[in-house]
Amino acid sequence: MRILIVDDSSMMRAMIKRVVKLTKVPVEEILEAGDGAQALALLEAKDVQLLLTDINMPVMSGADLLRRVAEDDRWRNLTRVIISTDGSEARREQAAGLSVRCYLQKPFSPEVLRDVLNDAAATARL
Amino acid sequence: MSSTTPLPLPDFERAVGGAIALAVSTVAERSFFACVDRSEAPDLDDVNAAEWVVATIRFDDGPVCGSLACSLPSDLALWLFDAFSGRDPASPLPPRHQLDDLVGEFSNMVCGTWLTRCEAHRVFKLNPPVITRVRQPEEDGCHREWLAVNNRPVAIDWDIVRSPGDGTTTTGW
Repeated sequence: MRILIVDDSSMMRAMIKRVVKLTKVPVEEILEAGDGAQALALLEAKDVQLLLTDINMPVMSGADLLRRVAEDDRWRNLTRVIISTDGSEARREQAAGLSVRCYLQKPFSPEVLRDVLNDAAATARL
Repeated sequence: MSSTTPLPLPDFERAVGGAIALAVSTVAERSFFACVDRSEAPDLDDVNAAEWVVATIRFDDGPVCGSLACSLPSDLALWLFDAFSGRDPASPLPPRHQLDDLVGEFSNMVCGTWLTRCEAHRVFKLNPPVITRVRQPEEDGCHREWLAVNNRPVAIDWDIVRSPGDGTTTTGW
């Protein structure tokens, strides 16, 4: 499974990466992007199975990234997960319209992310 | 929009201060394995800190606009960095931009947790944190809460501007 982590904080990307490694879920490669535009470029170039994205980011937000992904049939099998400080019900409802598998609010526990990874890995094997 | 009667201002400020303390506690304990306590304002001249790192987040797009700033002594910022990143304290110090990024993310999570609790039915937009370093955190007219994170002082300054004509407070505030 190839994972793409999208967050404008390099510290948060490093932390998510560390948790992914601790879970021991088999991962082929972990890619990183600092905003939605960088993420789109990586999605174009690589075959990614799991997208973990923040919402509030400069250049292109996570919501705009997810809209672009939802519009393109090439990424119909991509598992999409939001990891954001904004845990409002309104934002969750928006996310539901963007084919997002789940919504993690920061701060999150490593166990929650492990469950997400296991779920995505099972889907990727199908 | 809730039609509840507005809280008198001092009660409103106390309620917001309590919600902020809870947000700091949630973030510090869950992501940084740190302990948080309420605290009196310290004598800043007695706080042994080389400098303070201040991360200010502005928020808008909701029924309220405003800002939240977290001011941390630099040694606490480094401790939080180690807890978050797993860095060995004996290894070389991280570059300043990474420490700034960490304090920005701490403030971002505090602000997001606080606003989510207070305004669960509204989408809000958090702007990227602005980081400054100061000798001591100055009072600049904002409301201030003092907390102790791992027995080190942390100042949380907040300012809220409610939307024009919005005389109500929603249930979470």
